[in-house]
Amino acid sequence: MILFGQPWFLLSLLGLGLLLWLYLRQPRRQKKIVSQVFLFLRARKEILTRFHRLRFFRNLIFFLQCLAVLLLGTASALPLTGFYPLLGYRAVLVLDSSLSMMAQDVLPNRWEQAREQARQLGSNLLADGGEVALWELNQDPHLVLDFTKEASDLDRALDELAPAFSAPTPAELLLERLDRWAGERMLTVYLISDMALEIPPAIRISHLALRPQPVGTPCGNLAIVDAVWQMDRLWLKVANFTNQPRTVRLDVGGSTSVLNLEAEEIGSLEFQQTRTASVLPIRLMEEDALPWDNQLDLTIPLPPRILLVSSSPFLESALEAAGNNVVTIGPEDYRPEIPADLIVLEDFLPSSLPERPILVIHPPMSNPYFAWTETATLVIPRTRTDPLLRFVDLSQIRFQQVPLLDPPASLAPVVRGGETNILWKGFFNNQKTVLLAPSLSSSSWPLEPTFPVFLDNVVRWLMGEDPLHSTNDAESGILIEPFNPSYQGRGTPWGLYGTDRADGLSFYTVAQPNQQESNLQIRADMEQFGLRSAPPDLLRPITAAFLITALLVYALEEVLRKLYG
Amino acid sequence: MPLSSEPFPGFSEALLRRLARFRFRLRPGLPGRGVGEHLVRKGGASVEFSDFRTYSFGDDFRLVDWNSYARLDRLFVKVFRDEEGFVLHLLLDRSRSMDWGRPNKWQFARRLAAALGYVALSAFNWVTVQALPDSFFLKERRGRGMIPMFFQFLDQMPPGGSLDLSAALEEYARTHVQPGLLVMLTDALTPRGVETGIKRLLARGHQVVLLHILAPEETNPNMLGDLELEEVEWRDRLEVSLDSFAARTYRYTFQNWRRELEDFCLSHQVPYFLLSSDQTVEDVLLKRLVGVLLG
Repeated sequence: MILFGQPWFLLSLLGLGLLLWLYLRQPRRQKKIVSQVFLFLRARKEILTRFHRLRFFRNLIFFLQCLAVLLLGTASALPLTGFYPLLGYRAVLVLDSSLSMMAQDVLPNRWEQAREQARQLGSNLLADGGEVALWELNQDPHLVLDFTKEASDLDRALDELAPAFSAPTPAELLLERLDRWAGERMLTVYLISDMALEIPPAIRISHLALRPQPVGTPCGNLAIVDAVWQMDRLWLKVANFTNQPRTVRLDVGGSTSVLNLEAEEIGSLEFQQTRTASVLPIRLMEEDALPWDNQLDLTIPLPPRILLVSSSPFLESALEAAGNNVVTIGPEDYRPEIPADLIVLEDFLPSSLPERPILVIHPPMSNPYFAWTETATLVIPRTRTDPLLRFVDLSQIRFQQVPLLDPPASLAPVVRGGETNILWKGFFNNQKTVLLAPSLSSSSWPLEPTFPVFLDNVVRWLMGEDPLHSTNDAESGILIEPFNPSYQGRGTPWGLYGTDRADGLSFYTVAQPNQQESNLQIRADMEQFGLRSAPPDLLRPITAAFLITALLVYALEEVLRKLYG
Repeated sequence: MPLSSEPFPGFSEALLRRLARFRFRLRPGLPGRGVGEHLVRKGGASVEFSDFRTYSFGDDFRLVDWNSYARLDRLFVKVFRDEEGFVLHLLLDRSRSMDWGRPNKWQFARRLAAALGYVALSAFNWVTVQALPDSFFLKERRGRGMIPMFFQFLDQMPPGGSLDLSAALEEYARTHVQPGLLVMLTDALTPRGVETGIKRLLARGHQVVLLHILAPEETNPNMLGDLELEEVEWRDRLEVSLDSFAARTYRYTFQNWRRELEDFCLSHQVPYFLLSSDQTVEDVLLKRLVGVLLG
């Protein structure tokens, strides 16, 4: 089946009708009054042969013109036979096997974590029908397993790998060897490492989609091992891996803080940090053998605009406490066109769901989306580890009225209590959706401190902001994305991924199988931001066919012009 | 003094004076009619000496050459050429096919006919004009006094109608028994040809001259492409697609047709002149016809 990225361009095929109309309207023959028809009749046989030849040429040109219009219209509509190339469909997993991966400061150690990540990433990619190759990064970076589609091959190769001593700078050599795949559009290199290596800033790797995957905490004397910004609070964790106490100075957005750390201690710092900038630079000011993990740029998201359709005062104050821009309206004032980044619906569901992320709290009994049977009293067991429940403990919360909902399978349950689930998250109506079943008015939870934290977790998840820390190297321009262990889908999450900020943005489209609308949405997003993407696979051949056809038309017209004037 | 008070449109006085000096060159033995200014070989009463012959009984003594008798002691009489008139038949094709081409064939033919008739009338010969198709006919006229009327007749003659030229010539041969110099001005573009008609005219004793008038577009058509051709005279239609090769084929066919007509004329001692309507009448008269038809 052929899909079209810009199907409205198919309207240009109406030009075929115009062409046909012009063809039918053109005078078949020019009328000439002459005095010597009988002489033409004498030469008739030869002239009639010419007549048939000219008619053939004319029809051929008309056919080619129609074909050219058809090809042009089709090419303009960006035809696709499948989907955009999946990032990671052909992936190279590079596993750092240096001895630093065996450090026992974290358990399980980095090597075990890295192998597990490689195994999970590989199996996800293979499940999507991709191919995976495995490289070992040590003093002599080499290919361990060539591209394979078998998960068992990958498992076997991973089991056979063992860390060995490594010089500290093998990355340059690795990149040089990885150059064999330079230019492969669909290839992604996952570098799974503790990042105790140097990637020279001079190396531009825009031709490779290199995605470093930090594992555990980096080795070194000092390191920023975690950073979380939430609800105007900034938590930092700084590690001292040495066997001597250290006093470290920390530059957070221009203000310096001092922290005393014992030997092999990981200390925490907490700051009041409002949204003053989109990126907050954090630097350790001490000399360190491994500066890579001493710097961090924390991306602080802009406050989302939240449309709250509710009559509950708790929700509004809880959302505003997290710094969000909240507009509260009653259900009777709801209009789909009211601008908002996400919508919170309490005790209300509109006739058509908005095309934005939504948090649905206690949907009304009669709604077309979620089957609603009866209510129950629930006691929530211990807090789960889902990002939505980060810093949220529901074990002391009681819900008096919880409807037994049966949402679609695309919403995955997050919290289960008693007979039913109370919290779901996932995609519904192609939008990120969080569904909370209990009625807030029947519970004391809105009065608890964890309630605004929960709401902030929800907002972050709905807005695509993962609360996990993220780091990047400001000098090399390499974006380092954390491996997201909470990812529930198959393969890599879809979205836009940048690889090189210094050389202009070169983005890669990641598509979900069987999600045509998402793929097209990605394309629209890319065009909106002026980003380049891989062209649809049929665009080039169709464009080439159009050019050839147009040249043929031109050549035939020239021949006819010379023969017949 | 002008020979005509109303010269034919486009004819200058100088041209008319020059034309007045021309005489038609007729075939020996062409029957004359009355006295004119055309000298014939046979004996006559003009002042133009022709020959001597032996005196025979009954000859006029006034014609005896007494100087010869004094030298040779024999009687000879002087023979003079006769001055006769003749009939110039102008057969002017005025069918619709003649009213075509750039320059127009009809205008060219009419001017040429006017010039030839002027030459004949200036020499006190008889001129008759038959337009074909035959709704216009000028009965035999003679003398310079008829020139204005002759010019007016031609000037007012419109083109039109369709013509089976061969049948028209046969009809003319049947109805006009007085032989004379018969000049046909036609494009001969008729599917049945003109050969049969010319034979009939020759059988009647006419001295036939064919002035074959064609337009440049007929000799070398410059039209190409998809065409629907419509015959101007017979309204026949033909759809053709002309490329350069087909145009060459037409020219080849045209040359064959013209050569067949010319060969026929040569074999029947009919002077044939292929004239193009983009020529001037002066050029035709002074360069093509002088020495052959005019002298």
